[in-house]
Amino acid sequence: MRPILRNQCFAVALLVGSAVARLPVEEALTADFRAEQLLPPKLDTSLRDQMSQESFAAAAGGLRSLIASYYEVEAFIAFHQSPPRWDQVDKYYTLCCQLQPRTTHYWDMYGWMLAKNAAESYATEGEATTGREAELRAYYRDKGLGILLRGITHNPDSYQLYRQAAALYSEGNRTLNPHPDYAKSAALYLRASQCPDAHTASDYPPAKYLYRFYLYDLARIPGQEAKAYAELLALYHSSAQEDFPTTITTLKSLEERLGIPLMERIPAAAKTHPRRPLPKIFFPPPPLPLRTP
Amino acid sequence: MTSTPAPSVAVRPAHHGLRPWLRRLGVLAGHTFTQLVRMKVFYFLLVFSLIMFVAGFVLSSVSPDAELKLVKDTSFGVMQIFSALFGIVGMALLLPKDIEDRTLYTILSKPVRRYEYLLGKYCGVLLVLLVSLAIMHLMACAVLHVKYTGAVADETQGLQAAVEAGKLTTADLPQVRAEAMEKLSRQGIQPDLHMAVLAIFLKAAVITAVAMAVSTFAGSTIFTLLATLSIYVIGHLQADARETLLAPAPVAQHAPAGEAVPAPRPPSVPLRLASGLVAVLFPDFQVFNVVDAVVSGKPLAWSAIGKMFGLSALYLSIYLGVSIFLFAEKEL
Repeated sequence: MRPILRNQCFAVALLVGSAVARLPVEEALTADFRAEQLLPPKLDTSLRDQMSQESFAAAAGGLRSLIASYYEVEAFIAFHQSPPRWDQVDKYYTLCCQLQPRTTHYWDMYGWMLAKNAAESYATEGEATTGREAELRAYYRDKGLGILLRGITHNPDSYQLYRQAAALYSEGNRTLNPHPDYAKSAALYLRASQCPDAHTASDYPPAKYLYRFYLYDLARIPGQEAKAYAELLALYHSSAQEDFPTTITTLKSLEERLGIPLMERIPAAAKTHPRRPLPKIFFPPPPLPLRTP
Repeated sequence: MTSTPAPSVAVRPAHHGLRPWLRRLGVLAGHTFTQLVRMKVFYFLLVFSLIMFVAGFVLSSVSPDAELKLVKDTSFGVMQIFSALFGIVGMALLLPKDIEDRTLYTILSKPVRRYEYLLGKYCGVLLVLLVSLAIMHLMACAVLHVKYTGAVADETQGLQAAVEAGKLTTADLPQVRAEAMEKLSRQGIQPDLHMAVLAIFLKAAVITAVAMAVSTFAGSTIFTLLATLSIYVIGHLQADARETLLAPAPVAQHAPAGEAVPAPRPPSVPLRLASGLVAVLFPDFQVFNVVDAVVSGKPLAWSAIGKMFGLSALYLSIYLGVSIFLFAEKEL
């Protein structure tokens, strides 16, 4: 056999032979990285119909994050048009979420854009609304809420989406949400407060206020007043800084509803503590009495 | 009595304390580095800086943290593209250029083995890749830092204005600020970003090795370029091909009611063959795409980097081995 041919055979044998060892390693590593959420899930082939050929090729070539970021810029441009192009916003954020389903930011913004911005754009203050507008408001609000809930299924350990969805359930609004669902919002706030990323090392970890919001909404559920009162009172006494106006208002309302004896009620005024020191007022010293010679 | 002859001691040249082949490798790598620098390859950094300027200071997005993410996505995406292109083009140009300039014959007429020549060239290209990635990363970090500082200042001002306008109470201010700052800092410069650059480097090192393997049997530069670019694209789909190849045979399942659910159709024989060919011949580039997760704020553990290093070493040994086999007896 000629040396050149022999070496070519060696090269092919190396490629094929190494595959026996290589393929299981690649398979295990891919599974490992997918489990650690370091690799994105497989690209949905239905995206091919919605994206341009170049974008799809780029996304398949490992530039998903970049493509998603630029689709968000497109969505932002559509949002800034007058009137905003909600269909375009919807389209581009759908692509962002499909490209990067584990990036909470896109679900958060997508839900917020539709449930708040799009819905409220059809709820003009002080003007008579048509049936079509009311229909569109309800459509966008429900769609936004659905998006947030779908985002939660992809990111069950991120507090932001729970909080957004909870806020939508609990916000009472005459036109947008005439019947707030406090049971659902309380459950979502409680789940949000338990998420790992809500327990940051900062002085004001989100878990603190999320739990507070849970208690506010729990207080509004008929039959849950006693539980809400006990937990909110414990929170109020836990720290000098837990005297937020809504905490005091809610506690006062619960005291009335539960008939708490006057002696056991909390003071109406906020506690004074170092976070909000009283303003220092420097009075000018009194004038010295004039000496008469 | 016969005197025993003194044992002969081979005197080795000093070679600056390095093994001769290693020194030759160093010389070849240094020469390749100089050769590429003289080809004005670093001019592409001007393009990179322009892209970074547009992403950082011209484009705007929904929120300050989205703008920071845009800067990171752009910089890391462009780094991936440039490093891959650089490795492919560098390798595709160097070998034919050396043959054309007859430098190759001069080098091989010296006591330099063919594999040393190949490895020297490869190390030179890697060196240029490393330097260019380091410069791009520094530039990206600088833009990100400026952008981040600006975003923090804007956020602070915005919150202060909200308090003054009565839209935010002073009691709520600290927690709102803490959350806003946490969001921004997650999109700022994190130590994991440096790890992501390492992942990009490893991916570029593998595609450069593949380009070298192609260029050892390719007849022209254009063939090497096109073939390696195709391999780069196909390599990102290798995981799918591998899954098709290794998929277990589908089994008929039974519904709770008892009736049999027909099994999904298995992949056809030609499809399996094609998938097998792709899985066997091409490396899996998708494994190196941890950059997206890191940019989104996911931490990248040292163990993951270690695994990527291990896989890269495996790929390099395969594709460099193929190059050496093909080049060893090539008629020049």
